[in-house]
Amino acid sequence: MPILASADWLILLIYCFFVLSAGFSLVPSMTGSREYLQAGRKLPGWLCGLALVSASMGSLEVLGMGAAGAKYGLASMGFFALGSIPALLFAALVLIPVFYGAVSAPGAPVRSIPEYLGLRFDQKTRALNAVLFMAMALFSAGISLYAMARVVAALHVFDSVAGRLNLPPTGALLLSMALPAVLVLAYVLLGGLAATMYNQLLQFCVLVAGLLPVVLLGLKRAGGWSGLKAAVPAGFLTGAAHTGAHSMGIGVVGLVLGVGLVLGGGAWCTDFRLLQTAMAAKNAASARRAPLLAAALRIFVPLLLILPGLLALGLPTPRTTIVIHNENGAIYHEITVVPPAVEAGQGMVPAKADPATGQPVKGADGQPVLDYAMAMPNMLLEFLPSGLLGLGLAALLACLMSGVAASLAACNTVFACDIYQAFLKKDASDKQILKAGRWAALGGMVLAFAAACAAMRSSGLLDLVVLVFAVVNAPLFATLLLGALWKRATGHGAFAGLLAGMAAALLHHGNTLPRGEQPGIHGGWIKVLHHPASDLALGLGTAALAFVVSLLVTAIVSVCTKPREPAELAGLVRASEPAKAAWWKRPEIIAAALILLAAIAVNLMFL
Amino acid sequence: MAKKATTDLATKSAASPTIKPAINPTIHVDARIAVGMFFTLAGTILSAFGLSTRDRVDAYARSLGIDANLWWGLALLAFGILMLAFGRRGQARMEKAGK
Repeated sequence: MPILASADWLILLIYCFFVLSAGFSLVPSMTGSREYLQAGRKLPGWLCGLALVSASMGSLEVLGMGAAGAKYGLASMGFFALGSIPALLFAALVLIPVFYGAVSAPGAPVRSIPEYLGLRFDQKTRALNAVLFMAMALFSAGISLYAMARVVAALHVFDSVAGRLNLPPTGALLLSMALPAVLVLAYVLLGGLAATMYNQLLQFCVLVAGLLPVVLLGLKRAGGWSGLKAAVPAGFLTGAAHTGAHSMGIGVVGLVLGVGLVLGGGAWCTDFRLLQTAMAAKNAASARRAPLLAAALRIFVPLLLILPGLLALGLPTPRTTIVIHNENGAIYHEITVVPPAVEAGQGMVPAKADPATGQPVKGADGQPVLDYAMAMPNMLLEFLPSGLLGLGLAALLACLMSGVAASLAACNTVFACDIYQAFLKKDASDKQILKAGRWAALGGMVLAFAAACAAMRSSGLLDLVVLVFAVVNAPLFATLLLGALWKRATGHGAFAGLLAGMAAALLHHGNTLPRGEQPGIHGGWIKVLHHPASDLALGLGTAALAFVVSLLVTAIVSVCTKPREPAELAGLVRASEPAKAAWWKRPEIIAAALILLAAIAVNLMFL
Repeated sequence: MAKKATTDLATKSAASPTIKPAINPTIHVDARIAVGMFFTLAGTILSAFGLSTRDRVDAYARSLGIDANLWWGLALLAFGILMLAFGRRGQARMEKAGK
């Protein structure tokens, strides 16, 4: 395994320095709680859009895209496009203007999604969502911290440092979790959301700068597009949408509804970790531009992450080799030893190794289980020479940090506004709110780190992220949708809808088990009634059910309860704005249509 | 909210009322400047490193014999300088608008 050269360390250190300095440079601007929690609502739209893309590419998503490339081929590109672009366009045209324009008092715009829920519905809905959101965000922050640290440890980046400090065997892993955690905590404490978003811009640029050379070199090595086509299994490049859906075990209808509507909407229209970036824009037009820009970028960015995974599959697998050569009469044996788990893999994708023996883990069918998450990181090592390797590793750290920082910044806003100011200390001064936000960031990081350590002990927790998403985000998408679009929706309805959606998700997860899995964390912990084809199909089914149940229950309970006065809802529900121009002359609609057409064209080109 | 903040200011920090307006409450750093500085620096280091290791065949076996450090470093340097220029312009414009 390669050890980092001093040039690599230099690049990594400079990157860390710039990340920290963004925090320090913003300290003078942190004069009040709104400056800290919302970046003062002063940021330009392009910055919000780039931060939005970067926030959505945390370590789980980035590793997941590389893995999907290796597992399902280019067809997964359609999957990611479907899961983001329609939802982003919907958010830009319909939901963001409502969330951005909602005010709790004159001059006091809404700071968080729970605060919006409190204004639109009632305090109990707000409290429920605030608590659930923080639990979800911190849990997934911890999991993504662990997921990327595992990769960094597998690349032996911090081994020499850990060895010098005489740390135990898990020291390198702990170090690769603790160092980014401390960096993130430092800049979130110093500069709040503004520092988070400034760094997300840098992180996006570093991600592109670190991965683009890998894609270019990988394509050159594979012999261009046609060479890649020959090297990977048939259908990986040419598979039409339905083959991709088939290999994931879901039908086309399930794919469009489950991925496009529920997963996409649950993330891009609901998740405050993402929406906070658009809500920090300087005006409503900029806030609307952010998701449009993000959608335009999301057409191409997955390609940057999927291709390395796909290329990894097409390259030759490293094998243990013995080269004998004769020099001046002496016989030299040159032995390159490759760990058995790497040798059992496919292409550059290694098999999962048993941590005790180092032997490859075999699945139920006797084939080695592949560790797809390592596909993209292995490509960095394969192609980047020392120097650029530092930048590539900085890109991995960048995704880790942007995702965790987004969670942390969102949690401190939700804690300060929706727990502290709303329930603990109603007459809190601005300084106290600011302080509560900073303490929340500290406490949140401690909890996230605890979750990461728990994930280190039982790796099954990784699979829980999908369930947590289905329990929290899918029902919330239904209530937010009704709240923002339908005047008749009431607080009791929303509260009942959220609870019913959560219960439905848990029941569904408890009663279904993907084929070939053991009951437990993968599902089926109550009684196995149904066998979906894959983990993904189960996750989609759970989320879709939670969404539908929440939608129905919210609507039914709302109709049976007393509606609010229409005057109270002014600015909280989407009003049919007096059209300034015909719809085909409005810039945001033209932009959305162009992006949609481009996305369809790009995906047709590859499918 | 704004009202509350002013009353706080009046009661608590009456000793230093002149300092408060001196701090510009806006976010007054253009984000592109930091990005530009990072890529200018990283691009310079990479291309210098690439230039000095240009003749080492073994170092660039991984990148298929291409001196990736040199060429990608130059590309990043150009990007960094471009961002720095845009950032400076944006900063100047922001300060002008602030006054």
